[in-house]
Amino acid sequence: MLVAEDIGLSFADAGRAAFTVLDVPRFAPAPGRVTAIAGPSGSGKSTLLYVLAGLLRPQRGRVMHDGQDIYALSEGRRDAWRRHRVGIVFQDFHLIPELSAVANVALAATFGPAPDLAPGRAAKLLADLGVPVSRGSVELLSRGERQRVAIARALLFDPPVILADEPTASLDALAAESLIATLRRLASEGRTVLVASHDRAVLDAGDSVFTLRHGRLAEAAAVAA
Amino acid sequence: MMNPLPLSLAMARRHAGISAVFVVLIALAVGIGAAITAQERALRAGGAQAADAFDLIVAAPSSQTDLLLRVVFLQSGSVELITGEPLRALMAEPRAAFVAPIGFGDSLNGDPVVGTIAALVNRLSGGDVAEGRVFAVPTEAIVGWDSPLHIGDNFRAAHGHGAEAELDGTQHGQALTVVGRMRPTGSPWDRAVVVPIEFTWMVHNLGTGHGADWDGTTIGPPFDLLTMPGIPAAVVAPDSLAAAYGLRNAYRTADTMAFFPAEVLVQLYDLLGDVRAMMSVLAIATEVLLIAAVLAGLLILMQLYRQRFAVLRALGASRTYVFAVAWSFGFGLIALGSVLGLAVAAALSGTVSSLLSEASGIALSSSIGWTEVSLALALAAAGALLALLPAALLYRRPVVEALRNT
Repeated sequence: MLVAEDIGLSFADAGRAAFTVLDVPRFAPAPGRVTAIAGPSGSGKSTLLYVLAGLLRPQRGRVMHDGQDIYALSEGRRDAWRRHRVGIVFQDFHLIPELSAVANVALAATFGPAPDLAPGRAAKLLADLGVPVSRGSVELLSRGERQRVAIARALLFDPPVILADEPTASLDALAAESLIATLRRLASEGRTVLVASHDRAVLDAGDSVFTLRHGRLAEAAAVAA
Repeated sequence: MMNPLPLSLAMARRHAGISAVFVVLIALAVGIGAAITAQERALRAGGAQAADAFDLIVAAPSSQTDLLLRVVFLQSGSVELITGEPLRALMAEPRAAFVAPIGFGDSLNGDPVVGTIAALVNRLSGGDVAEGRVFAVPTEAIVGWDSPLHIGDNFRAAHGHGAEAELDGTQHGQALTVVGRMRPTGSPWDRAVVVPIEFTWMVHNLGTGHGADWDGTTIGPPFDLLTMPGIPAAVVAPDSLAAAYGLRNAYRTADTMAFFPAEVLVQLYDLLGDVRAMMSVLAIATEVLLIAAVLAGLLILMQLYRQRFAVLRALGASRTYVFAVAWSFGFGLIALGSVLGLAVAAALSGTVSSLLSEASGIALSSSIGWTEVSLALALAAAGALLALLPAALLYRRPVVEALRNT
């Protein structure tokens, strides 16, 4: 289970006073549910995701995953934890355009020592998500297909945590609807799915919805699963 | 296992044009630098091989380099003659296996016609001729390995060289018959037409080199030392190493000079070596500037890729992986350029050698050796170090900052 405890983070622009970005006493998105975070631009949604992913060390507090303080790990072990235990989905997909869909999905296996993956796992993940498997560049795919490739990439090592930052912002309504269904399916398989979004459809699909204002997190609504 | 190659190759594919330009520029820089050293080595080897059969040259006092160019490399030009008592002493020299007078001044279709004796022909030809036989009467000739003439051809030599050559209606009108072909010497003698020295003397109205009772057909030594014409130079084959040094000292007088061609070549090589060193420094400076330019290009390219690398970190790639991708991309370009540079050097050096061989008659065989390989390796090693810089910059770059700049 992923738990953020007493997280505090503030930035200071040059010549200006420090301002609080995050002030979160406790945040524990539940496994098996889609947790949505809403809030205006600059409210700290992405920053919270970065902190939870072990990419941005908070000035105060800790992030626990299955009882392990991830910021107590060395940077290399934290990288490996993120590689195997967290799947991240970006707004603009951030695929490697020179590589095929399969190569993009399997890319993290080249980062370092990895558990043995079943042969063809990348292709199977793509097939499960309805992405045509070809040897061509991912640039040949539609935006919806590219986002599904990004999701397949996030699932390579079957992580228990999925963090998605504005995953529908670049998609049309139909593709967004498909993506939301996928996120819900991933949650139903027991994963912790945390989505930062402006998208009303995403927020409506969340089992829990939090709002982030001035760095403070508040549960805005609870929707029955 | 960490494997940065898929991504570094993907970057190369993404920027195939820029990558190709980097590689080509590096290959040209390495190629030119390596070709200079390979060519210089080929010139040394070719010059040494060409002069190998000329143990000792004796001539009237002048420039040893000029004489070397005249006798070994058959360059045209005027030369003072050895005459009188010094000539008589030289031709009667007991410490020499043979003393071969050399006679210049004629040509055939641009190729030199040289007068000498059969012993020198045999020496130059490695003891045996390739085809036919050595001349046996004054009107016979033997040609060099590359001469267009064939056995049985008849020709008339022209007086002088090049445009100045013109047929002489009286003496030079005397026809010669080709009776043999020499083995290759790797020198301009391969294009020469070699005739009995008696022929050269006769067509220039200098006598026969023999006494009044000469039968008109017997050629070669002994010559009549009283009536023998002056000669521009003689190639001396000493009996022994001690004799060689003794002869060289004996004929370093006010009337004659004696030198080993190898000595003069060493002096020329020293000069050539200085030029080579200067050109090598220039080539290395060019390569350093080029590498600096490539490095600047890589830095700009890596700035364009900072977001991609941040995403890789977010996906779980370590700093080391990002470093390895950036470094292998930069080093790969430089290493590939260096390897291709050796191929460029081989092609360039081969072409230049061919052109120089054609122009000079000296057999030049250039090859890529350890010197050139080490030059390419040095550049690749420098590239390995320089590629650390953009890689290190990416290594140190904060991930979140780059992710926010998307």
